[in-house]
Amino acid sequence: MLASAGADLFAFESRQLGAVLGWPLVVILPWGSLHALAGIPVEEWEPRALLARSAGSGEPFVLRVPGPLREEDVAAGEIHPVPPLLSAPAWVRGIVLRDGATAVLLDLPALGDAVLSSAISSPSPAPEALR
Amino acid sequence: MVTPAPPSGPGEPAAPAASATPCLVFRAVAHWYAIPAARVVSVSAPSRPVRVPGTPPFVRGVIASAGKVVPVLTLSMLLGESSRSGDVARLVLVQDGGRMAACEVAEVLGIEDVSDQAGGPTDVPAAAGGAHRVAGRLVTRLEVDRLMDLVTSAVRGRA
Repeated sequence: MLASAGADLFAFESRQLGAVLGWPLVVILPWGSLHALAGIPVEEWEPRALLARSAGSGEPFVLRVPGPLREEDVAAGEIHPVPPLLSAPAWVRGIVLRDGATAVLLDLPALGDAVLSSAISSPSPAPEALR
Repeated sequence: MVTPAPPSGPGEPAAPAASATPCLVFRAVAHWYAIPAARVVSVSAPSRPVRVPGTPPFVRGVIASAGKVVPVLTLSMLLGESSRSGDVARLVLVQDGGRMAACEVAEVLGIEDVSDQAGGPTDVPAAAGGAHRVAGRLVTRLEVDRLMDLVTSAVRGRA
């Protein structure tokens, strides 16, 4: 599953994904924002909600991402490890290199741990969407 | 050439020439630096890096180079020269063993011999070779292994 955040492209493994929900959410769940994660200081456009479970507690959470999303097959050989020099967070799983396009592959369960610990929570702690 | 050997007097044996290493000389923002050419993999036009969340500001992101993922560094920020990146005209890809990084630079002068003798004092980290006069410019010689160590410690220092 690929989502664009600004000029950057992010990838998620479909197997780690529970569902893609609309936004605003109709249930109350802990959530984080891909734009906040990527340091993009604007709201996501056409937002979608990726529902997944955290690695640690298995608790469900949501990552708000800009839409539209697209799904593509990525070969294992196209996924490269993050250079150790960067010491990236655990939720950055790898880099997808394909046909000149580069995407950052995120680990949703590990991201869930970070969202639940508020390490990358949205800048808006009380979003109007949580009704 | 950086440090000319002192002239020999008549009848005196010629003084051994000071050893020097061919280095790529470039400007990051305002300061000039030299990196041993043997450690330089390539010099290329800049390409837009993909940002990796959770990395420090001097890491601009990653690019693909020859099928590998390579971090792109804003050298001026890493070395404390500037708090932001300036004009980027070239990417200098350097390697130390298995570690590889691309450095954003504003201008490349070319390959010049830089003395292996200790240069003038400099407060630039990773500058084991000190400051030298090269082609009329004050150039700080960087050692790639120390540069990579500096990246590692700076990245871990933020964790």
